[in-house]
Amino acid sequence: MTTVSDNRTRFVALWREKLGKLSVRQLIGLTIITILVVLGILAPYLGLSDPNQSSLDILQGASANHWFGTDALGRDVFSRVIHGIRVSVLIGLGVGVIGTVLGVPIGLIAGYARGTIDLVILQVIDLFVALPALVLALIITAIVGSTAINIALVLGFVMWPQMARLVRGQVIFIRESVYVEAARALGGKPSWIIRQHILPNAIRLVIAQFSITVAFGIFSSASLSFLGLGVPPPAPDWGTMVREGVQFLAFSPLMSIAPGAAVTLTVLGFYLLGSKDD
Amino acid sequence: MLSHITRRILLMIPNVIAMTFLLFATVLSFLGSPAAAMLGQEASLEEIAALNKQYGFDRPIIVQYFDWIAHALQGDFGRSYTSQQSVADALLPTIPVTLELSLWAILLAVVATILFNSVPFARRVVQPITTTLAVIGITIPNFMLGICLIFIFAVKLRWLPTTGWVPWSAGVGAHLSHIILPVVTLSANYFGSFTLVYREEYKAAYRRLFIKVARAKGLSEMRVSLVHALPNAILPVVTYVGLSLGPLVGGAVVTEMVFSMPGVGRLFVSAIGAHDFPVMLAIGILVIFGVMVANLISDIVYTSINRQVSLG
Amino acid sequence: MTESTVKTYPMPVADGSPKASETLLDLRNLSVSYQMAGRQLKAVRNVDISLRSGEIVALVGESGSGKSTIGHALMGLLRYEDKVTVSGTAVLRCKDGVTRDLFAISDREMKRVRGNDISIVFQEPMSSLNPLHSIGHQITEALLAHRKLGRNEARERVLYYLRRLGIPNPEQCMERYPHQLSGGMRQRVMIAMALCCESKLLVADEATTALDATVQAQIIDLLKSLQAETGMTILFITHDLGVVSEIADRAIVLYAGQIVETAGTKELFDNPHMPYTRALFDAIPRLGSSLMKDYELRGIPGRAPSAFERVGGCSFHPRCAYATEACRATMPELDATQRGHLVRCLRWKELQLGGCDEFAAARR
Repeated sequence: MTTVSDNRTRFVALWREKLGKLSVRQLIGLTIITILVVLGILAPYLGLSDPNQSSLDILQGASANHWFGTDALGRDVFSRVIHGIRVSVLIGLGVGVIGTVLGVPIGLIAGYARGTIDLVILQVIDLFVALPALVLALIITAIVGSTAINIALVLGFVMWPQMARLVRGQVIFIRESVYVEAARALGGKPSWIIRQHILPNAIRLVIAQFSITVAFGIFSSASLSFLGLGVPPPAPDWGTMVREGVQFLAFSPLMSIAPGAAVTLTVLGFYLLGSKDD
Repeated sequence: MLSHITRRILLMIPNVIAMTFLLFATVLSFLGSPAAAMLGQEASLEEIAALNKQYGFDRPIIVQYFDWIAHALQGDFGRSYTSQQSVADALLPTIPVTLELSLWAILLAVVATILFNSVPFARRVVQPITTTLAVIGITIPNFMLGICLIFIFAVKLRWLPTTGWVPWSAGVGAHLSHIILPVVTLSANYFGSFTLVYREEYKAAYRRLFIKVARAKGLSEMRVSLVHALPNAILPVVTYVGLSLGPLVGGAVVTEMVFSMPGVGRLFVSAIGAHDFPVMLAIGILVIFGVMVANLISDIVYTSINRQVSLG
Repeated sequence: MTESTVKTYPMPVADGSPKASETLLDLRNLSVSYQMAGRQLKAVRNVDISLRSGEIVALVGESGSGKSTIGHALMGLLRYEDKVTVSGTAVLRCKDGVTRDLFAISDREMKRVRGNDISIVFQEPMSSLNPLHSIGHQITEALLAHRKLGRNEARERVLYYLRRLGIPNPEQCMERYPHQLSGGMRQRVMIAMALCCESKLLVADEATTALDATVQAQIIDLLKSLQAETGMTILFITHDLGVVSEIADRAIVLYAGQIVETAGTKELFDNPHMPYTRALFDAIPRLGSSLMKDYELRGIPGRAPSAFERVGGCSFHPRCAYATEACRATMPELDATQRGHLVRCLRWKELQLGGCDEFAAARR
C-alpha cells in the first residue's frame, strides 16, 4: 500500500532525476522562464497599478512609486513590463506551437517518403532558411493586420523549417537503426530499442527545438512591434514600449531599456533551455 | 564543377520565380484592390473600376506578375502611391547605405569570431567569455543592443553621435563615427551564430592529423592554430555567411530604424506603414532575389575551394 | 631559455650489448594513463627502452598495445591531450650535447626539441599534410622552425631533401598541394620533413602500413639507406613482423601496454620465448609454394584486452595455449634468457616454441 508521503518522495525523486539530466545552461534557462511565467500569471494580483491606466504623472523618472518611472501617457512602466510577459510569452508559445505543428508532420513525411518528396521538401526547407524571414513577416503582417494571433501564425509559418529538418533527420536515423537491428536479427527487438532509446532522445530534441522556436518567436515578434507592427494598443507589448520610449532615451532611459531587457531575458531563457552545452 | 554551377543556377531560377510569385500573389490577394486603397474610402465603385483598368489590376495575377517582372527588368518598378516618385528613384540611393552597413557587419562578425575563437592560450579564461558573448549576441534583439549602445556611447559618454548618417563625402571620420554603432549592433547576432559554427569546425580541425604533424615540427601553438587549424575551419563559415544573409536583412531593417539610417530597411518600413504597395513589393522581391543570388555565390565559392582541396 | 636552466642528467652506462655505443635515448618506467569516465586506464605500463645511436629498433604489437602511445609520448604530443598522464623519464642526448628529460622540460623547451632532435612520421600520409598549404611551404616551415636561414638557402635545402628522397621534379613538387600527390610521394614528403633538421632520432609510427606493398618496400629501403648515411636512430613502430625482419636490428614486443619480449631481430625470430611472439609469427600471412589457396591467415585466438579490462596474472593468459593456474595468478617479470634477450613469461624455460624459419631466412 502506498501512502501519500511515499508518492511524494517518488514524485520528488522523479523530478530530481529529470532535472539532473539538464545541463547548467538549461537549468539557468528553466529558472529564468519559471520566474517570468510565475510573474506573468500573478501579474494582476501583485498590487501593481493598472498597466493601461494613464495619469498626469507623465515621463517620471524611477521612484518608489514607479520603479521604472512612467511613460508619455503617465502609465507605470514597471507594471507594463510585468504585464507584458503575458503578451510576449503567449505569442512566443503560439509561434512554437505553429512551428511544431507545421514542422513535425512535414519532417515526418520527408523522412519516411524519401526520394523525390524528400528532395522537394528539402529544397523548400533550404529556401525558407535562406529567406529574409523578418522581411516576409513584415509584409504579411502589414497586410493581414497585426493581431496577436496573426503575428503568431505568420512567424510560425516562417519558422517551421528548422523543426522539419530536425524531425526528418531523426526519422532517417531511426529508420537506419531499424535496418541495422533487423540485419543483426539477434536478441532484442528493434521496436524495443526504438521505444527505449531512440524515441525519447528524438522527443527531447523536438522539445529543445520547440524552446528555441519560442525564443526566436519572441525575438521576432518584439522586432515586428518595434517596427510598428505590434499587437494593437493599449496592450503592453515590449517591442512597442521600446519603440515609444526611444525618443526619451536621454532623460528617461528605463522607459525603453527596461522592456528591451525584458525581451532579451525572455529570449535568453527559452534559448538556454533549448540549447546544448558545448 | 561547371555542371555543378549550371545545376545550381538552373535550380535557382524556378526557386526565385516561385518565391517572388508567392510574395506577389500574397500581397495582391490580401490587399484586395490596390485601386481602392489608393482612392480611399469615399471612392465610388466606378472610379475604382476605372483605375483598376488603368493600372491593369483587373487582369489575372499571373499576368500582372510577369508584366511586373518585364518592367522590372527594364528598371521600372512602378510608382510609389504616396510620393508618386518612381520606385527606382526612391530605392537607388538607399541601397549603398544598406550594403555598406551589412558588409561591415559581416566583416566585423567574421573577424571577431576568428579572433575570439582562435586564441591558443588562456583558453580556460577566453572560452567562457566568448561563449557568454556569443549567447548574448544571439539572444539580444538588435533594437535592444542598439539603444544600449546609443545610451552608453552617445548619451552618457558623448563619444559618438546618437543617430543619423553622413556620406563619405562629409569626411571619413564623420562617416565612420556614424556607422560604427550600427555596425556593432548588426554584427552581434552574426558573431554569436558564427561562433557556434566556427568553434565546431575549429575543434574538428584540431582533431586532424596534420595538427599533430605541425606540432611535431616544433611549431609554436600560435602558429599551429593560426596557420594550420584556422584556415581549415574558416571554409565552412563561408557557406554559413551565405546562408545567414536572409536573417541579416531583417537585422539591417531593425538597425536602420534604431539609428535612423536612410537605407533600404527604413524605406521599406515607411512603405509598410503607408501601405505603399509598389515600394513594398519591389523591395521584397529584390531582397529575395539578392539573398538567393548571394547564397548561390557563396555556395559556388565553397564548393570550388572545397573540391580543389579535397578531391583535386 | 638559457643553458643554465637546462637540467642535465647522467647518462646510464650502456648495457654491454654487442653493439655497444653511445646511448641516445633512455626511457625509464614510462606509464601512460587516460582518465575516462572517472576511471584510470593504463595504456602503457612501466616500459623501459634504451636506444643507442645508429640502431633501428622495432616496437611491435597489435593495435591497442600502446606502441603508438609511446611514440607520441616521446614527441611530447600527449601534453596537448586532456586527461592523459605520462610518468617516467625519457632522457635524450640532444644535438647541443645537453641531455634532457623529455617528460620534465617545459613546453617551450619541448618545442625546440621536437623536429630538431626527435622527429616523427605518422601512419596516414593522406591526412598528415595540411590540404591548404603547398608541399614546399610545409617542409620549409619545419626547417625554419629550428634554423635561421634565408629564403634561397631554405629552398635549396628542402630541394636537397626532396631529391634525396627520390622525388621526381622536386622544384615542381614544392609548388604542389597534398591532394596532387600519391600516398607514397606524400610519405616521402613526410620523411623529408622529419629529416630536414637532421634529427638524431626518428620515430616511424606505422610509417609504411598504409602504403601498398611495392611502395612499402621502396620506403623501407630508403629509410635504411638514409639511416646508413646519417647515422640516425630509428624507432620503427609496426604491427608487421615481415617489416621488422627487413629493417630492425632489435625488436621490442609489446602486449597490453607492457614489454613482453625483447631481443635482437635474428635471435627473436630464431628463438622466441614468449608464446605471444610465437603466435604473432603464425599470424603473418604467407604465400604457399604453389597455389593461392595455400594462402592462409591465422589469427591469434581471442583478442587483446582493451585498456578498460584488467587482466589478473599474465595479461596474455586468456589467449595463451600454454596458460596454467600460475599464469592466471602471478604476473611474470621480465627475465633475461641471455645477453639482450628479455622475456615476460613464467614458463619460458620449459616451452619449446621453435623459430620462424622463413623470415629468418628471408632476412637480407
